[in-house]
Amino acid sequence: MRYYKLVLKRILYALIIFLTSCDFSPSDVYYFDVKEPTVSPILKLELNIDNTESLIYYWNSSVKLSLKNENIKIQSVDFFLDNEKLITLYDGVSYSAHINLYDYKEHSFRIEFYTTTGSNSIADNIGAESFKFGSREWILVPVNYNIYDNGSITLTKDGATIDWKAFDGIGFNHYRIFKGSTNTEFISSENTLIDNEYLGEDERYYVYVVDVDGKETLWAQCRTFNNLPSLKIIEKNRKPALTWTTTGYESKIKFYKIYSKYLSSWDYLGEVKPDEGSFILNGLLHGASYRIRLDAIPVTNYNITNISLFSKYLDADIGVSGPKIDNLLGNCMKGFVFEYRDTTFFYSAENNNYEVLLNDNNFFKTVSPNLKYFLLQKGTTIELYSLENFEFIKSVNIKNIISDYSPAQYPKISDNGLVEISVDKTVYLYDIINEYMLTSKKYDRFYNPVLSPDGRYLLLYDENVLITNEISGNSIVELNKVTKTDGWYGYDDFFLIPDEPDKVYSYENQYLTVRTMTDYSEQRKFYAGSHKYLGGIDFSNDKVLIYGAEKFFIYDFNSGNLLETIPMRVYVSSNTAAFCNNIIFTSGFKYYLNQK
Amino acid sequence: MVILKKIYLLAILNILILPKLYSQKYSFGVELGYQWYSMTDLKDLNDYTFKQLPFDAKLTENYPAFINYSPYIISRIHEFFSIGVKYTYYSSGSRISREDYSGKYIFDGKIKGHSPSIIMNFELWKLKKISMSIFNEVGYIFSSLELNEHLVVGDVEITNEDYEFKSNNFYWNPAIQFDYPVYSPLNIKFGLKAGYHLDFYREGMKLDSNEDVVLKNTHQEAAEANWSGVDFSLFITIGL
Repeated sequence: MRYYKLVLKRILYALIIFLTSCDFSPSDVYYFDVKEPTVSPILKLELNIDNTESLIYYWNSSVKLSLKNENIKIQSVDFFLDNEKLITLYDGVSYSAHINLYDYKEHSFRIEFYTTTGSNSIADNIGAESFKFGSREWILVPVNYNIYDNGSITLTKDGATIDWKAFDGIGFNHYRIFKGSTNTEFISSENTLIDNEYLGEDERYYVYVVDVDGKETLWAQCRTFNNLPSLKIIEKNRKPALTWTTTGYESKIKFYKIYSKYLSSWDYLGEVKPDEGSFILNGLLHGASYRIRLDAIPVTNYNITNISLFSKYLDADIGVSGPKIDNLLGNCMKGFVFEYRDTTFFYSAENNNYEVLLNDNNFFKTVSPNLKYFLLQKGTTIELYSLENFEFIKSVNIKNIISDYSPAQYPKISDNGLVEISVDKTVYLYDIINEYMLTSKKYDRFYNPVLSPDGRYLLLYDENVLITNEISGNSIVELNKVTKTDGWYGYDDFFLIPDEPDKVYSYENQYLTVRTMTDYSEQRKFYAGSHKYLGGIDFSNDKVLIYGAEKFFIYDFNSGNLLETIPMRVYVSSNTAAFCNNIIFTSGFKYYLNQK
Repeated sequence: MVILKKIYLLAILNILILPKLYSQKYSFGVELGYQWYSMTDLKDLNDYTFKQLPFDAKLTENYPAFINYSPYIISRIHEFFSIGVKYTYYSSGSRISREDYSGKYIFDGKIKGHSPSIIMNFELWKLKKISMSIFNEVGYIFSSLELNEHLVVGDVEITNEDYEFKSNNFYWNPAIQFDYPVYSPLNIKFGLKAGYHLDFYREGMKLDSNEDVVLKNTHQEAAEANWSGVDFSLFITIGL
């Protein structure tokens, strides 16, 4: 019994020890039999940077390495700038590092690359076992460049060929070429480009180097300086028209589209083929400043949604070119005489051209109303010329006739050669053709004299009084005398017209009023605008033209009806405009009334 | 948990009070079992981990069947019916490993289970000295999973990470039991038992140091420690 208990107790103890040791504990380790590599495997590498000892750099950039191999994986690539390790980036294909240089001097640059061993060991598989395959070192050399020196253009009939210096720095990926006028861009890996769409214009090309990071830097810039076609305003069919020079590339241009801009928005005017040479600018305000745009639509790539073009601009005052007038001396159906700067001109309506009469404007000049005589005052001497051929007729020293005459007086001459000279309060009428003093009359005050074209009437006026006179024989006979309260209101000019010498034309309260010379009664009046200034009047083809500031009024001479109002976008005055044979000359332009 | 407490209370009453009322005897026993474990989630995780390794390795263990042991006290409260309490210790585990000249990689998973339970035995028949019984066990398993990943390359320890996850399950273990008295004076019996362990309620495994972190299976759901499986055991009891 005791023996059993002893055995049982021992069994129990053994059981307890056994049971407490029955705790699962894995012990086997899988041993994978691989051999430790000793020799570096063969590796093929492709480096996309120069295979020289030095590298040129123009700006901060990235170096990118494409490492290709057939049997071994690249484990890592390290970049060193002046022995300082750079951050290596890996995009799954290439390794790259960005080089930031804060000075402009030479630096050392080194690349080390490592490969896996290919042993298939744990360390190999997790990248902890590698061969240092090799190392390359370069000297980074800074180089300056000028974008204008790097590019050039050669023009041919086929277009423009742009060449630029091949980029020899680091980090190059491709070129992007930007065409300035059309915002067109081209991508190229070569350092040349043929632009077949070049049409002869003034063109700029910008060549950018795009680096491996996608950052682009301007590398070259070149310009054609062609500036074709040049634009100009000409006269065509008596209207202003736009014309352009040929470019040599007309066969590539489908048509030109023409636009105008007066204040802010562009208005489409029309389209024209390049070989038509000109385009009449209808509907534009005469004398106004416009910006004209000509868009060239190329034959190639033309469709509704994708229009490639270049534009040319011209800022111009619209109008048919005419003489510039500083001072109008006189005008009639034959033409007009005017001064511009230091020169006196005569414009012939018959020939539609003008010629120089004098090149010295220092002397006082006047012409007879029908442009028969030209009178030049040189000191106290008056020179008389014929305006029909501008031949000198004679000269008279007035001082010998009127002792107190001085050059401060401004004589007037009629078509029959009667010269009116007012000296102080005396009016002298001198027949210069026959060289005798016709008559003279002394008044109680000074009056402004107006001599009728035929020399038959003399109008005298001041601020308050107007006197109409008839020159009868050798005397001045007063016809009528009116004061301001009698219906005469202004200080404005009075006109005596050749066709109706017995009428007085004056500007009264915005109306050109016609009155009789004898009793100064109102015969007719024509509205002349709200401006205080009456620039001038003229008669032609039974029409009356009144031109004031910025506006012309054309009336039927016989009925007095307003036929037409012509707004002008330039300031018109008696000194800057003339009318002859239905042409208005103003501010350097001609305007044909019968085209209205 | 309230039901569980009531069951425990009844068991304690049975063991301590009822035997005196019916003049029953207590027995102490020790059971040595061998059980297969389902552990589906943990096995799947091992497969996944194994496939993700950048080098060839081997899954040398993957929660295999392993022995467990249980001390227990049981009281015969009726001529054919006994009831008692039992403690069982389970363990299993896994290993992914690889070793070569360059280093060593080991990924171990060790799972342990501590299980208090109530056991009931109903004797069906007796032939000479051999008796056959229906055995029932209901219990609660406190599971603990330790994961360790260790990588050494050359002399450098690259990785050495430890994680411990815990979870709790309810289980039921029905079985058929045979026993034979080997020494009558001390009422020593030797027996065999075959049954099935079923974890009918399982919790997800949570990181011990932070219960907000859950171990997820390959379906991104909470991984469970599933101890379910067939078990066989030997036992010996001694009358007290």
